[in-house]
Amino acid sequence: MTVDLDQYAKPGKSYYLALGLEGSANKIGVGVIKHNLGQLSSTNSAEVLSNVRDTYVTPPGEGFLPRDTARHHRNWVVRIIKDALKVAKVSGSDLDCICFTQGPGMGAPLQSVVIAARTLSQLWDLPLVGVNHCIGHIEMGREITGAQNPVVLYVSGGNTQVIAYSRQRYRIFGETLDIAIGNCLDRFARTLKIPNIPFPGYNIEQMAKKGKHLVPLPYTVKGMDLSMSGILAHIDQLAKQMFSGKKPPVDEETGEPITAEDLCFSLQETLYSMLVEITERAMAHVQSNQVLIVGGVGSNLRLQEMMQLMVQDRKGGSIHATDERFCIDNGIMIAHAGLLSYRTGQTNELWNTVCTQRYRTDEVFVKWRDD
Amino acid sequence: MTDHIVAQAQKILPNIPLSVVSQGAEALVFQTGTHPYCSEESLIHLSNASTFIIKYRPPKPYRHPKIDKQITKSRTIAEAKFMSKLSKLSIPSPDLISIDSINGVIWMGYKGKPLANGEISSLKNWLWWLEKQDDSASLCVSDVVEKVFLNIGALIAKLHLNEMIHGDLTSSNILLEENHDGVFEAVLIDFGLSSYSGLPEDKAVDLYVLERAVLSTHSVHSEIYNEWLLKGYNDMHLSKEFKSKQGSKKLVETIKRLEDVRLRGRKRSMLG
Amino acid sequence: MLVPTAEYSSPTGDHSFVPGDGPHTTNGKTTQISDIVVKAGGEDRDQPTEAKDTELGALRAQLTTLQDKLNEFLTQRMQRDKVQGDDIERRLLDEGYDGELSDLKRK
Repeated sequence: MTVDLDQYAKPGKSYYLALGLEGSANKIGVGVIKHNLGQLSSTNSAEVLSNVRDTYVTPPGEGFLPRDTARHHRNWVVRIIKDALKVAKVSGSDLDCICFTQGPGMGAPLQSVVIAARTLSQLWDLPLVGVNHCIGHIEMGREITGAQNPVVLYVSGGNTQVIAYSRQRYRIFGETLDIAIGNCLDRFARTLKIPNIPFPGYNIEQMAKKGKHLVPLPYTVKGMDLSMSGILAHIDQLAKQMFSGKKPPVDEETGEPITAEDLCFSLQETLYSMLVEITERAMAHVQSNQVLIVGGVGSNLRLQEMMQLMVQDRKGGSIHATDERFCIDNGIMIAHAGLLSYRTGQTNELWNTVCTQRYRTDEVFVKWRDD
Repeated sequence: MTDHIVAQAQKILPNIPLSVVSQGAEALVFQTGTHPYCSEESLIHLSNASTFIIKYRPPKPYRHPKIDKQITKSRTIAEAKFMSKLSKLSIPSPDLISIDSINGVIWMGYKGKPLANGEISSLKNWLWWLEKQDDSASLCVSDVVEKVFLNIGALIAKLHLNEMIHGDLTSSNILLEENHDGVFEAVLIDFGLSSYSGLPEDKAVDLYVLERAVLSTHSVHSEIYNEWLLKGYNDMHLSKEFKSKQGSKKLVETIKRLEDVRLRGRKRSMLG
Repeated sequence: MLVPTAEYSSPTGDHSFVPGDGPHTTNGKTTQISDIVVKAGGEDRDQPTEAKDTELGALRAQLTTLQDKLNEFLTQRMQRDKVQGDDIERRLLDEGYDGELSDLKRK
């Protein structure tokens, strides 16, 4: 049984077009997606007409503050929307709906983008569709990779969750008990004063490649959940010792001094082992053999490699990941998930478009699936 | 594919017939008719003596070898210690037979009984099976199910009152065994993440992990299931056995902390 | 010509805002990048575009002035409330506090 996705199709029109606006963290992204009538499938897949993004970048050692991030989004949103429409070769009147990220994320940036969405909706007389950011990642990942019913590892600056679908909800099986993986990496990058361009996690990954010594760090898996704040505190302490020159840490076996590269290497190996482990735990628990990695940290090649090694040891296992166009926050995923929602009749009245910083993945009723 | 892991296990356990029962996340579970040190004649005097379980934690190729060795060893030892302590306390769990911590092997007694559909009698499989049996859902919330959850809550309370933390409570890690009167009794398994602590925080996280697992895995009736679990947990704390051991004080501390942990989950900042 | 206005009302008094005579630009006083970023050596590549010489362009510029006036007024009010006014502003803007304002004041 499948859900009828064409009850709300406009008469005489054989396709849908949606504009998606994303701005829950330090990126503003706008995309236009096209669905043809009928079920989405490998022969009738969603078409990305445009996917434009701009990132708010801070100097080394600094995180992004909500007020400056919101300002970045405010001052770029119009230019990026114009760009996205131009690339897609569509105009406002061609669209079926305006989709926007309703949460979770940072309050001020979310608000600055929803104002743009509301304005467009009034200007072009189009319905608004509020989208849960995590659902955007999941649905776009499924569409791009063709993974039907995977266990999803969602790893980004603000989120760390292991998710699986059941009874019209994406349910959270495991998650962080304290800070998110991306946050942990970003904060360590600040301790080391690693540049934020293109993004801190990428630079940690490059440094980690040169690391040789594995420094023992706490390993804190609790069932399908994990904790990372203790690890961060521990490695921050090591970094401080290393910089100050007082009691600089040395490798247990060789007695060689520990370098910043070694710390990056150790942090990655430890954190990613934990992530892969909780993913495997969830797979065993729900008896699935597919994994989909989404979210910004999902672009880390070492994490993908480790996940691949895990999956190889499971019967019929397969791994699915997307490239940075889709796993790093973007507007197209909001357009795609929003359009799915729109096609099942879910739209938001203007009064119901308030953004929320905390919006759990399992709060969303997944009306477009009933498997 | 898992064949090469079976081959690895067979290399560590030469000439021991092994058949795969399940592939968990960290271990492969085998069934065997061979006991490591008792002769066949002496086995006759043991109950349930024809089948044993071998749990094998294979090296994980994704982990750095240093992390891997450390984890395999520490978890295997932790599990064996926990099992022996549980059996001293007469808390239902498999009997420890032998351990090889370097190779990640534990030999233990067999527990549980396959369900009608042939699957292992874990709480998870049983609840899923009940769900399939019955559209009206009354089977899923029957007195039998209630008793099982009360029983599990009480077992966890016993652990916690003895300052033992399971560390990995899910519906997969609780087996059900039918006793002579046809009553289901819960048996705890999988103690690789276990630890010892009297802190309300650790107990609360232990409960929270199970509560969340029930919510995500058995979502339709999760509310009542979790209620029953906590009732069983409560009752044990207030029972005669633990009255003199500050059971009620510990209960209040843990439940208060559980509320904090839940709130942390809901209010966790999503900021980058 | 379109002129934006704003109304503020509270139990302690009402206030109206108009952009005034100008000149108006899109480069507002209160909508600059944080000092922290500038001090850390960051450059500001997120300046708003200049207002076009059209009716909508003029509206944009006037709105920016109006926003400045509002922000200055609200900041003053928060400071006058003497309850760690600066802290409230920082927590609202930088830490993404999304609870009740009265809770913030009580702390």
